[in-house]
Amino acid sequence: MRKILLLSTLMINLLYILLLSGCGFKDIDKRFFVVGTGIDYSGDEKKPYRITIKLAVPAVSIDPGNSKSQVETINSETIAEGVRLLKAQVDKEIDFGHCNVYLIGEEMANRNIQEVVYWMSRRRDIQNVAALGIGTPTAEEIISKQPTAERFPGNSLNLFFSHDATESSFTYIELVTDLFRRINEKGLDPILPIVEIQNDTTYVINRIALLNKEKIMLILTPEESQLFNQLSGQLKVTNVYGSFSCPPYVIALNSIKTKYSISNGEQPTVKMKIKQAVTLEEVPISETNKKNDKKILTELQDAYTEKSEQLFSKIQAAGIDPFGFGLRYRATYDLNDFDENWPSIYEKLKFELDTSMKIRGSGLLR
Amino acid sequence: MNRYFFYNYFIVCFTNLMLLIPYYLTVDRYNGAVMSIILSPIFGYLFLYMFTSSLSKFPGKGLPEIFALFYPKWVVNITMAYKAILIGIAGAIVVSTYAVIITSFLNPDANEYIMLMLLMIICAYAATRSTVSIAFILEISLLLSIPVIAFVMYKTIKNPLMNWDAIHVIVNHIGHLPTLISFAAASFVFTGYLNMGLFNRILPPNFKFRYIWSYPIIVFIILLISFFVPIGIHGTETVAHYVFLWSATADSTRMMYGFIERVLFVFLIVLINLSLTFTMVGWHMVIEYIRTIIPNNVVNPNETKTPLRSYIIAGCIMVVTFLAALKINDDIMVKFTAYFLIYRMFSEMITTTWIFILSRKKVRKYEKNTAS
Repeated sequence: MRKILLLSTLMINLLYILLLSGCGFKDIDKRFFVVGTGIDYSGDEKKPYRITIKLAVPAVSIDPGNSKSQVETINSETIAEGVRLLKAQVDKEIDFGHCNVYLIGEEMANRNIQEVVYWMSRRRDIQNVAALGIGTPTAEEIISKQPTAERFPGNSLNLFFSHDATESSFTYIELVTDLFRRINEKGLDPILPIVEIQNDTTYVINRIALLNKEKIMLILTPEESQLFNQLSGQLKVTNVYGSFSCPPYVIALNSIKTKYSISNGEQPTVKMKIKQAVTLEEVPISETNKKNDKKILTELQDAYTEKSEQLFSKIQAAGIDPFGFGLRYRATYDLNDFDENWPSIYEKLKFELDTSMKIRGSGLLR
Repeated sequence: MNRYFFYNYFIVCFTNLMLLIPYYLTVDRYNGAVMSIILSPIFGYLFLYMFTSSLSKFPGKGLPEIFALFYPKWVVNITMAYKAILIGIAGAIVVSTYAVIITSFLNPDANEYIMLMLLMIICAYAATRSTVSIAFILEISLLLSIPVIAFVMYKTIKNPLMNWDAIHVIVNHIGHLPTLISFAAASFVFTGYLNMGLFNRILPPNFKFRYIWSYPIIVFIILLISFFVPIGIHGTETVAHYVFLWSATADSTRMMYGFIERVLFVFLIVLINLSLTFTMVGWHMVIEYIRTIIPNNVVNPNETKTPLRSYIIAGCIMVVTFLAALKINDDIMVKFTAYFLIYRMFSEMITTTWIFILSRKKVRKYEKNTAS
């Protein structure tokens, strides 16, 4: 009996070996891992897509600036066909499973991004948690750029879009799931961060492009982008809320809570309450020791409210709704035909903001 | 022993919630899905109560033995063959759906039919074991899976992409009357008690079903999560774009400091566990039901040596499933599953009521005997 038991255990363990298929019948050294993908508009009507992929080249040493990669580019009629054609340009199997960054060229984003996003969502090996952005001036330029301090191929951009390394209040991180949701959802419009190259060595991601369902309608400045991130609750994940400057004061935000409701009636109004805990970062030296916190505070609150109102009105004027007011309206009120009725309601929507700040401290100085 | 009932009840719930049910519910999210989700536990509890209370009148007896008490052999045979086909189809749908998922996500280069064959061989072999072994396998598999399911659900609920407005929009559509398919889909997850038609054989004579009121409540909560969480993450419109909704939902969640970044792979491993176990249990019931039709059958839930006929039946199930899978493509599969769910709902309602009436008859007969 013991013998049979032993033998069967051995047999089962041997059987398990059969289940180890390795990397799906293609070994890891026979694969090229894509670490960045860019999709541009090529300018050619017949072959509109210009696809750029950055392939990681395995290196022996991992040192800053030693990352090697191979960049392949192709023009094609459809994205899927382009990827298939790219396979013929490299000697190993192309694997998208580890690609965390997908960039859409600015020209493409000015035309239509839907095809690209649908392709990504349909493809099985593209992660739903991959980050997306708009490459300026072209995605190809960004993808093929080799930052000088990069350790692994493609890692630099990847770190920008993850919460592991840099956490900036200017960077909006958009995932494939979220973009795909926003493209289809009624009352919630897509947002994409804009990636640029700075000084020919590194990237900057501090602007946000707001899209209607298809193309870019509005690009926010870095300050507006930060304000947008603060108001949209995007920063809750990282707990990095950034700052707000109202010369001569600068405050650092420790926490933000926004709450809003939409009232219906003759004049639909968004009533938003913004609660913040702040720390003073920069105060003019002449005012350092005076006890006039109250005055500073009201000034700051009014400034914040005004800036936010300006941002909301600017976005409203562009006819897009990245905050999801439409969705909230749908949830609160019964609207028969949303697509038909919402634009006119959104047009006359008024914003009533109320900012309340609480000073946590004035930094290390009194 | 009540836990064996618990396992049987929940394997049906978990497997189908992850695989098939959200698809049919989200199609009808604007008309009737919410109402059917709310109504289904009431019906689920009603039939659960009827079935368990009637089974407790027949301790140690499976469905074939119960029918044999009241009806001639040929009626029992037809009924059992019919039940076996229904259960067999459910298992076949689950295993072939999972074969599609596994080829899509884990290994796109692999041949789908080879995958299906491998999965089926595992299920079919396991299904030929004795009823007691099946109950043990079920226990182990569920105990391993439940913590991971809870983890995946927790991670997806805590996902920062979660949008409560979208859920609110769908909840607002509560006033619509349930559609047939959404109700059939929602009520399917409450039908785990039907497995007891066979597993009643292994329960001891003085067995009592306890806490059965809590089962539909727990399943109801899980049903709510598995319907509303994908809506919160994918939004009210996009949710209908995905074929495998929960796979897409699990893929939208990131474990930053996990060994694997994609929750999807953890989810798929649990799913393989659940769907193989579900199919194993289902096919075991098919084997046992069909065996009662064949003459000279010995009913022994704890047999040490598997009779040859079990292997033959298991082989037949595999061949039929495989041939069907060869013929059927994904689209037809989705439609077929919808019809199957609706048909199955009515069929099981009738069976449960029938058993209930039979059990009352038995009580009356017994009372008459003691009175005279």
